[in-house]
Amino acid sequence: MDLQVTTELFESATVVRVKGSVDGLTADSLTTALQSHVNEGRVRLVCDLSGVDYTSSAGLRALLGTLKATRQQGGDFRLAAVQPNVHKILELSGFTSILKLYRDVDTAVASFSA
Amino acid sequence: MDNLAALMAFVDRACAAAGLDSDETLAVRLSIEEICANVISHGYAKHQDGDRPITVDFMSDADEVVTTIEDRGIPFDPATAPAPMLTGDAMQRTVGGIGLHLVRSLMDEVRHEPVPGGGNRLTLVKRRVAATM
Repeated sequence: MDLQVTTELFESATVVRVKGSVDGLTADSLTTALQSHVNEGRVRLVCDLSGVDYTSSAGLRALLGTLKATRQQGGDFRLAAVQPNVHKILELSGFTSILKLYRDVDTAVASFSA
Repeated sequence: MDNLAALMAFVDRACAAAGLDSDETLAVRLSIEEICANVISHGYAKHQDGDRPITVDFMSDADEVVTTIEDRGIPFDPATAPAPMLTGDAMQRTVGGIGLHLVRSLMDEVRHEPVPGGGNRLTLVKRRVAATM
């Protein structure tokens, strides 16, 4: 299944909405999309994962790379609306201790204004 | 990678046909992806002849789902893999070893046997929730 990635710009953050499965076949396209924002200086990023029901370690690599890149430039990478299967993988991988998770996009975007 | 796409499509169909629930499907799908990606990246890394098969067998009944993955690559027992980095500062983290850690966490059994003549056979067992109630 292809991964659909769309972007919405807010004053306090950039929201990247992802739909589909993030696996070894699709993770590169997610990395490219997220990295393009970082390259253009948009380092306060929110990833809307409401449409993602699966990630493997390939997806975790994309998330970790983006987290490091944004923080290196004084920003942050935050997740919104993480679904149960993805949350389980994040927990098992120790990612819930390094990534900030929010129940929905609005809350995640607002967190950058706090 | 084209073959991996076909394999994952097969896995999705097999999980649906077997009536696996969300947890079981996650465990089976992720484990097959991680193991096969590992074989392609490491076990077959030095082989570019395009003739290195990965055989996946999938069996389920009311009690368990048993997946067997066989390759002809470099002998490798996942039990000997280095521990992944699951704690500590984000900037120091890597995802190395996390794939196999996830397989071990999501499956109830992971058994490795060397294949005579070279290669590996991994047997992954996921016990079904209804069977343990």
